[in-house]
Amino acid sequence: MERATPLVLAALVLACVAVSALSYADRSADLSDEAREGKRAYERRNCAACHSVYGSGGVLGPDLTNVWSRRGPQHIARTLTEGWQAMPDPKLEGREVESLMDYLEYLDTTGEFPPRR
Amino acid sequence: MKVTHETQRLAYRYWGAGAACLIAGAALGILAAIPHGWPGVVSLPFEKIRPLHVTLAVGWVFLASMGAIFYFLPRMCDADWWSPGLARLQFWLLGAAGAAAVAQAVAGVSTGREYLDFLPAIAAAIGVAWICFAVNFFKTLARRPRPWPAYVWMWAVGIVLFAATLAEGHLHLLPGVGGAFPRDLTVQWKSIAGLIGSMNLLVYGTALCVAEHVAGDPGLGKSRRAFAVLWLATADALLAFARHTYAVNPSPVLRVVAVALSVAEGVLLAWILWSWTKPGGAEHEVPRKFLRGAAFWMGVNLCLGALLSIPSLNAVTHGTHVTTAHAMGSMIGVHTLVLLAAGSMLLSAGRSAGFWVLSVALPAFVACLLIAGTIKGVGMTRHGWSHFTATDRARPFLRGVALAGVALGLGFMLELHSARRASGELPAPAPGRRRRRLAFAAAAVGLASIPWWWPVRETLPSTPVELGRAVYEREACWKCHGVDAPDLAREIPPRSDGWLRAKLHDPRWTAPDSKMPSFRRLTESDAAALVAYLGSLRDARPFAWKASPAVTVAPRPAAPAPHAWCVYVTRCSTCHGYDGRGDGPAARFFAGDSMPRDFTRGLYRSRSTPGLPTDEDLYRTIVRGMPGSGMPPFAELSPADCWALVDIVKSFARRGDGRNPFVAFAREAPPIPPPPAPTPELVERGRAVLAAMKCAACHGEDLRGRSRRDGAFDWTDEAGRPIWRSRDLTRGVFKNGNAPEDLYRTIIYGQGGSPMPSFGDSLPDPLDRWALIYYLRAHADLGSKPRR
Repeated sequence: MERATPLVLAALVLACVAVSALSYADRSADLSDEAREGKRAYERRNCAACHSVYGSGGVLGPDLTNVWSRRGPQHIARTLTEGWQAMPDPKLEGREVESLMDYLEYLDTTGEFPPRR
Repeated sequence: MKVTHETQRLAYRYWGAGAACLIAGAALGILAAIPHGWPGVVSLPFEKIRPLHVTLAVGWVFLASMGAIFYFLPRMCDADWWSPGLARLQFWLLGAAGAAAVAQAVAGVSTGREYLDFLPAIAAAIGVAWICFAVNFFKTLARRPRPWPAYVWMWAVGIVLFAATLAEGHLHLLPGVGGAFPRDLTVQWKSIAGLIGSMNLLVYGTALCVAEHVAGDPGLGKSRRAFAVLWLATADALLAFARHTYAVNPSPVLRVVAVALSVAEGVLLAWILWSWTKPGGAEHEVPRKFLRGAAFWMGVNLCLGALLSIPSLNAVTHGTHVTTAHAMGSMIGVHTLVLLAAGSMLLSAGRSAGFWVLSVALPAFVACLLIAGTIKGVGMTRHGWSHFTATDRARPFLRGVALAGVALGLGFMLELHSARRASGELPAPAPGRRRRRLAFAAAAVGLASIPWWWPVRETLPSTPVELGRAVYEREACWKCHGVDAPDLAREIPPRSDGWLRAKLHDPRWTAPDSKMPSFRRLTESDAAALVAYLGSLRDARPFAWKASPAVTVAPRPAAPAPHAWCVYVTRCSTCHGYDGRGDGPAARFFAGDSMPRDFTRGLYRSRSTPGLPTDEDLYRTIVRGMPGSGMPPFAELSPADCWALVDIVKSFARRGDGRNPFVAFAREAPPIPPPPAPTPELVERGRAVLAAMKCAACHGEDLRGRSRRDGAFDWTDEAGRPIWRSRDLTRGVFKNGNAPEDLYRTIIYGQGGSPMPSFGDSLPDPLDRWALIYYLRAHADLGSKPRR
C-alpha cells in the first residue's frame, strides 16, 4: 500500500486538477466599471459578513444575488441609506450607495439564485 | 509524553498559541451569536466580529496541528527537525502575521472574503512561514526511510495543498479573475474548499497518529484502511469544491462524485478511529475519549452533510443555520476534539472535566443551530416568509445557540486547565455495545429515508399573488384581519384595486376613525403585490349574485346639517378633491382603475332619469357606494349628513366656470313599470335581445368584459382619463346595483359620462327590457374564475 502511494497520489492530483480546471472555463463576463467599483465597495464594507451572493457568505441577512428584481431599487436605496429591520444604517459615504446599487443590478443579470426548479 | 528531541519543545508553544486562539475564538463566537439572538439589544459590529472569529478558529486548527506535527514527527523519524532555527523563525513569523491579522480585523479593514480575509502582505508573510515549515518537514522526513505511515502522507499532502490553496485564494488579484464574474466567486469557493481540505488532512493525520499511540500498536498507521483514508481524503480535498459550490458548480456529476468521496472517507475514518480507540489501558484515557467523541461527531456530521447534498433538502436549508451547524459540527466536533486529544497527549493530562461539559454543550449547540435553520428554511420556502420573519421565528433557538456557545467556551477552558493524572483503575467495558450499534444503524436508516417522505416545496413565491401573500404574512396583517384574509374578503364588500392601494397608503382617507395603521412605507412592488393578493381573494369568492342592499331613502330634514362641509372634507375630498374635480390626493392610486368622479362636469353614472340624477339617486349612491368601483359605501353616515353631502355634490356642478352654468337636477324620476314574472320563454327572448343590441361588441362574446390593455378599445371618460375595461356582466357587480330595478335603470338611461349608452329608444317594449335583464341574471357565471 505504502509503495503505491506516491503513484496513486500523483494520479489523483492530476485527475482532480484537470477536472477542477473546468470550473475556470466558465461563462464569465467582465464587470462594467460601475459594477466593479460597487464590488470593491461590497468587499471593503465586508457585506459578505452578513449577506451571501450565490450562497457564499453570511446567513444573518438574505442572499443578495437577485435582490434587485425581487425587492426593487427603491427598497435597496432606502435600506442602504437608513437601514431596515435588523440591518443597521450602514453609514455609507460618497458614491458608495450608487456603486453598490450598480453592483447589485449587475448581479441580478448574471443568473438566478436560489435556482427555481 | 516525554520530550525526546530539543525542537519538540516548540510543539508546546504552538499548541499553547493555538489554545489561546481557541479561547479567544470561542469568546468571539459568543459575541457573534448575540446579534442573532438579541438583535438591537447591544450594538455590536458583526462585520468585524465575524472575520476575527473565523481567523482565530482557523488559526487554532493550524497552530494545534503544527504543534502535533512538531511533536510526533521527530519521534517517528527518531531525529530532530532539520533546522530548529527555521522552525523558530517560522513561529515568530506566524505570530507577527497573526497579530497583524487581528489588528486588521479590529480596524475593520476587509477584503470581503469569508475565510483568510487577510491583506496581501499578511498572506504573503503566512505563505513564507508555511514554505519554511514545508521545507523543514520534508527535509526532516527525508531522514527516515520509507515506508512512512499513512498519517505522515496525510500531513505531507495537507501541507502542499494549503500552500496551493493560499495561492489560489489570491488569484482574484489578477484582473482576469477578480474583474470577471462569476469566475471570481467560483475561485473563492474553490479556495475555501481547498482550505477545508488541507485542514482536514492535517487533522486526520493527527487523529490517526494519536490513535496509533492510544492503541499502542505502531503497525496501525501502515494498515490498508489507513491508506484508503489517505487516498480518499486527498481526492476529496481536491474535489470538495464540487459539493460546496452552489449555483456556480459546473457539473452535477462532479457533485455526486464529491459527495460519494466524502461519505466513503468519513465512514472509513470514523470506523478506524472507533476501532483503534477500544477501551484498554488507563494510559492515554483522555485522548482516547476525545478521539471516540471525534469519531462519533464525524458520523453525525457525515449524515448531515450527505442530507444537505440532496437537492430538494438543499433548496430548503441553503443560507440557513443548518449549513452553519454542518460547518461548526465539523470544526468543533471533529477538528477541535482531535486536536484536544493531541494536546492532552502532549500534556499527559490525566483527567478531563471539560470532556463531559463538551459532551453536553456540543450536541445542544448543534441541535439549536439545526432547529433554527430548519424553521428558517421551511418557513422561507414553504410559507413564503421573508428572511426577517423567518429569523424572528427561529429566535428562541438562536438564543439557545449563544447559551450553548457559553457552555462550549467553559468546556474548552476546563479542558485546558486540567493537568492531573488519572487514578489507576481500569474503566469498565461499555455495556450494551451491540444494542447501541443497532440503535445507531436504525437512526442512520431513518435519517437516510427522509428524502422519500419529507414533502418540500422547492419554489419561492414568484407570481404577484404569491408575493402578496408573503407580504400579508410579513406585515402581520393577520393580527387584525385574520390568518388567510378571508375574513377581510368576507366582511368588507368588494373594493377596487385602486381603493385598496389608496387604503394602504392612508387608511383614514375614507374612514377618519379607522384604527388601521398606514402602510405607506411599503415599496411599490410590495403594495402592488398585496393588492393583487387581496384582489385575487375578492375575485375568487364563491360566486353568488349577492343582492345589492336596498337603500331606504330617509326624508330630507328641515334644517341642513351644520358640519356637512367637514364630512365632505374628511371622507370625500381625499378622492374627489377639495373642489370636487376628482383630483384628491388618493386619486393617483386609481390610475389603472376607474377614477374618482369629477363633479364639476355634471355627468353622473347612476341616474334614474334620461338627464341628471335625482336627489334620491345621489343619496343611494352615497349610502350604497358603487360596487365594482373605488366608491365605497358610507352607510355609517346619518341621513342628515347624507342629504347634506347630496347638496354639496350638486353644488359643485353649479360652480360657475363656464362649463355648466345651468345645471338643472331632476326633481323626480319616471316610475319603473312593475316587472313581469320570469319565465324560460322570457329568458330565451332576452338572449335574442342581447344579440340584437350587440352587447357583445363592448362586453365581449362571453359577456365577461373586454380590456383596454388587450387593445379592445381606447375609450376615455368625460375628463379624458382612460377607461380600462368594460363591465363583466356575469358577476353581479354593477355600479348601480344588481336588483332588476337597478339593471332596468342602467340599461334604459345608460351611465352618464361613460361609453355605456342608454337603450331606452332601442328597446321601446318594456317586455324586451325585462327579458334582457332576466337573461343576464339567469346566466350569471357561477364559480368560475373571473377575468382580470
